[in-house]
Order: sequence, then structure tokens, then C-alpha cells
Amino acid sequence: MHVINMAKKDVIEFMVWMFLCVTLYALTYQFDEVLEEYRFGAAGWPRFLIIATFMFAVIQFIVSLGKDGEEEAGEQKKIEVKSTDLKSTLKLISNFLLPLLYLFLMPRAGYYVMTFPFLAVYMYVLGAKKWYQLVGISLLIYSVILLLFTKLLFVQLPVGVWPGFYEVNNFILSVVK
Amino acid sequence: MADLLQALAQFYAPMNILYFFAALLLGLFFGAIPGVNMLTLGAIILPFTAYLETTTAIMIFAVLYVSGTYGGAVMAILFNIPGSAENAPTALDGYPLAKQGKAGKAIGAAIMSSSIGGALSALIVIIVAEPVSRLAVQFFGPIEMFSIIFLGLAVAASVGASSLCKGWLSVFMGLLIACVGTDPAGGIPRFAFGSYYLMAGIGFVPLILGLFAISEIFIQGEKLVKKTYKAPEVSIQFPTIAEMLALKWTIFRSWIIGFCAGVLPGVGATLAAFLSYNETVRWSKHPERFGKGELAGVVASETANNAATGGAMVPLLSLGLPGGAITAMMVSIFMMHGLEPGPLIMVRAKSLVYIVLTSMLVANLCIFLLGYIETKTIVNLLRIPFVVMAPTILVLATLGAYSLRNILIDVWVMFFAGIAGYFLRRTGFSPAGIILGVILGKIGEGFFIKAMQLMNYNLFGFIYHPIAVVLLAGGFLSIVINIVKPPKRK
Repeated sequence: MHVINMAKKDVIEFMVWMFLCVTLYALTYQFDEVLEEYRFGAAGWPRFLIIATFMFAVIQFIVSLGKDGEEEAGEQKKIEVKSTDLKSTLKLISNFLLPLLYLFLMPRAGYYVMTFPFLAVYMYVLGAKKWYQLVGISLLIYSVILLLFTKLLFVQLPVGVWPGFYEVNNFILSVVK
Repeated sequence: MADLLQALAQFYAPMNILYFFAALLLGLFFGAIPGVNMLTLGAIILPFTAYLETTTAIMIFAVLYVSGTYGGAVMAILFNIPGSAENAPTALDGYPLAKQGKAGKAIGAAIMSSSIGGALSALIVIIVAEPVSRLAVQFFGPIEMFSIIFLGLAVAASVGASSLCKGWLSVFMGLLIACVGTDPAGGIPRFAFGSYYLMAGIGFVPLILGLFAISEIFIQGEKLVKKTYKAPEVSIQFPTIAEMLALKWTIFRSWIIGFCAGVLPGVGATLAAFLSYNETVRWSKHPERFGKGELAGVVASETANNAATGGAMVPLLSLGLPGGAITAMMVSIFMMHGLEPGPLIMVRAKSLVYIVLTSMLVANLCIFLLGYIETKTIVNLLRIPFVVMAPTILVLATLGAYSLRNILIDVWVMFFAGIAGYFLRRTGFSPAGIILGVILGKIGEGFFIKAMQLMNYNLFGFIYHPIAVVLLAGGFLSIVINIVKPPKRK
């Protein structure tokens, strides 16, 4: 079991907000020229928002420290995180990385080629086991979405740029049309 | 009266009836698909309306507006994926109800309240369109509009987050995202880094898809992998008459808020839904129940956002001022057919005005009937294992984001918003607050700039505008009440 201290979580959150505020404020100097028609300029409104965000982040941090202090007097609030085996950890990471991989490959390998395997693999990661379910359901969903967007809504989908994939995507598109 | 009768005769023409039902069903269906909402559908069918008669074309869009606004509630309740921004407050209580096995009750309540709110609005507009719109434009200038946006943001900060500070941080995040693009005063690029995409601003549709749909997939997917996922029970039980009668004052209050918000140009259904939800929490004897599956939360949001559709017709038809994207498309239809919405429309084409309002009234009544059938059928979507739904929703959302402008950057925005939404929701921030901040940020800043120029940069100038004072006081009161008597949050 791993234990995460709530106070550390609040500190990390606060540091993220501070980093965001400081970075954004620094960026406002790129467009802080004076405008004749408007006294506050292009940077006025964003700077006001950044300062307000900073203030609320400080207040939130102080309030959360106060709550953590109260809990220390009693029982410290901890988040218990269950350890997981390697397979589960890989599946957990895949839950986030697979969509990222799909987005990366879609413009390169084309939507028509990538979507069917993505559906099947993602379902497997989430827990579907039987191969005929993976193939059958993925094919059904793929076909319905393809017809909906291509024939009904006339949405132009990426056909890819990699050699081979481009031709296959266009072939599938010609079959559908 | 003669114009009303003529409008009714035109409405009941066989082809018009066909177009009416086509628009109704398409709005209900597409409003429910994440990413492919009534805006996308409206943009696709807009060119085809050039070949139709003006009355038919306008009627199609009016019906689409009504049915699409309701349609977005279904996914908000079943999967926590609002079809449009105005359905975001519906998800706050609708989704917990679905998880408790009361999806049928939530959808049934959404149907009834949408139908009542929209029908009453359309009926009132038939009577009072012209005088109400003149009042709205006369008394609501940039100063008052900025004040109402401040009120809306104060309200948004108090719902959906685990604390008031986190609510405001969520709203500020949305407002800062809205700053990306060009400034309203001088057109100077801000946070654009030389990118033409960023100069156009970050669209709110990819953000909605990311913050709600993608983050929900990540959260539920994680539970599936860890084997802690609990499938919701499926129930097709409709709310009883007694349950709805118990919410009569919620419906009445939400209808008034929705109609008034809809009348204000540019503000519309999203603000109406948030304001109404917040007021319902404030007036409730058990505010701590909200956010955990309180039927009144669904009713408040859906009554208001559909009431706003009728209210939006007031400035559109009387003054030619659109309240949102769909009404802006309706303005373009008028212009395509050589008409100009405005004060003269009531003189030149009164029957067209009546046909629009009649079709909206009938559409709202039809939603009640069709929605009852839909409740008995669509709730069964919950029976589909999430293992199958998650990849499907992800692909649909990807295509929805891509189909907006046919550029992949919108899809990447959606994905990164999904990752951000995953962490923000786990740490108590409000995606709904972020979305409202994004939507109101640009127009709010525009009104603030005009207000400052009108008041000669004197911030105390607000006190000379009574309506603005009332609205600003309402916003500050909302903040103070939440500090002094914070509702128990999750």
C-alpha cells in the first residue's frame, strides 16, 4: 500500500497554479502595447484574470492547509493507493496512451485503416476477452460510424500520408461511396 | 388573427408536416451524439434550405433548435456527456441519478420540463414578442450585459466544484482560455504564438467533448481496469405526476429565468440553465442533496434552457439580433431569401413569424410524446457494456471534434482537455464552470470594454445604472451566501 499525504497534494496543486500564473503573466508582455481606443490595452483583461486566479489559488491553499491542520489533530487524511500487478499497470497506462497513439497515427495512416484496430485493442484493454466479440463488435461500430459520417454527413476524414496506407484508405472510401 | 390562421394553414401543408417531423427527429437524434450536435447538423443542412420556401426553411431551424436543446440532455444524463453547453448543469444531477438506477426518471423529468418550458415560452412570445424585445434593447446596454455576465459567472462558480475557491478557479480558467485569440478592442493576437489556429481562439465544442466525454472515458476506463467499475442499473420508470407537481414552483421559476435570459441577445440558453440551477439550489430546503441525484436539478436546467429557445426568438424576429449559433443561422436564412429580420418583419411577413412560433409550440408538445417513447428505448443504452461504449464514444467524439473545421488540432485540444478534465474532476474543480467561463469570457470582455468606454473608465459609473447595480449586487450576494453558508459539497 502506498500512502499519499493530503497536504503534499495541496502543495503540488498550489505550485501548479503558481507556475501557470507566473508563466501567463510573463507572456502578457508580448501583447501589452498601448491601444488608442482602449486605455487598458490587450493585456489588461488577461492580467486582471491572472491576478484574481493567483489570489484565489492562495486562498484555496491557505484554506486547505487549515483543513489539513484540523485533521492532524485527529486522524490524518490519507489516500490509500492499491498496488497493482504489471499487467494491470500496463492496461492502466494504455487507457490513456492508446487514444494518444490513435490520434498520432490517424493523420498518418488514415482514419479508415486505424479505427477498426483501435476499437478492438481499446476494448481488449478495458476488459473484453472473447476474440469474436472484439472483432464483431468493432466491425459493427466501425461500419455504422463510417456510414453515418461519410454517407449522411459528408465529413471528409483523413486518408493518411504514408505510402500504402493512403491507397488502402482511398480504396475503402471508394467502396463506401 | 388572420395572419395566425394563415400561418396555421401553411403549417399543416403535407410537405411542411414532413419537414417538421424530419427536423424534430434529427434534432433529437443528433443532439444526443457527442460532438455532432444541432450546430453541426444546422451547418450541414443550411445550404439545402436555399431551395425551400422561406417559411419552411425557418420552421426547420426553429424545430431543430427546440429538439436539439432537449436531445443534448439524454447523453448528459446517461453518460455525463452534455450534448451542448446548456445541458452541462443537467449532468450535475442527471448523471448521479442514472448511476443510482433512475435514468428513466431523470430523462422523463427532462422531457416534461423541457416540453413545458419550451411550450410556455413559445406561447408567450406569440403574444409579447414586439414590446418585450424593445424593452430588452432599450434597457440592456453593454453595462447591464456585463453585469448579467458577472452574475452568471458568480453563479457558475458556486455549482459543481468542491469549494467556492475551486469554483472560481474553474471559471477563471475558462475566462483565460477565452483570452486566447485576439482582443476585442484592437484585434491584437494574444497567447497565439504565431499560430493561425490559436489566433481564431479555442473552440468550446472540443473543450466540452474533452472535459466531459474524454475525461469520463478515462475515469470509467480506469475503474474497469482496476475492476472497481459498477454498471448502473437500468430503470425505465417515468416520474409520477405527484413528483412533477411537487416541482411546480421549480418549473415556474426556471421558466421565467430561462425566458428572460433567452430574450437577452448573446446570452441565451447556457446562462439560463446555470442561473436556474443555482436558484433552485438556493431555494431548496435540502441544498446538500444537489450534485448527488436531485431531480429538481434536472428539471431546473432543462426547463430553463428550453424556455430560452422561445425567448431567443424575441430579439431575433423583432430586432434581427441572434442569441446564439442556431439563431445566427436563421438570420442567414432570412437573408438568403431576401428578407431582413427586424421591426419590419412583423409588417412584411407576419405569417412567417407566426409559423415559426407555432412550429416551436407544436415541437415542444411533440417532444413530450416522442420523448416518452424515447425514454422507454434509449435508457437501454445503459445495458451496453461500458467496454463497448467507451471506444465508441471516443471515436464519435474524435469525429465530432474533427468535423467542426476539418483540422486535427481541434481533436488534440479535445484530447488534452480530456486529460486536464480527468485531473481537474479528481481534485474537485468544475468542468461546467470552465465551459461557462469560455463561452461568456469573450462576450463578457467585449461588453466590459464598451462599458468602460461609456463610463469613461470610471468603475463607480455602474452605480448610475440601477439594473446593473441590482445584477452586480446579485452576483456579490451569491458569493457572500456561499462563503457564509456553504452548501455541503461532494
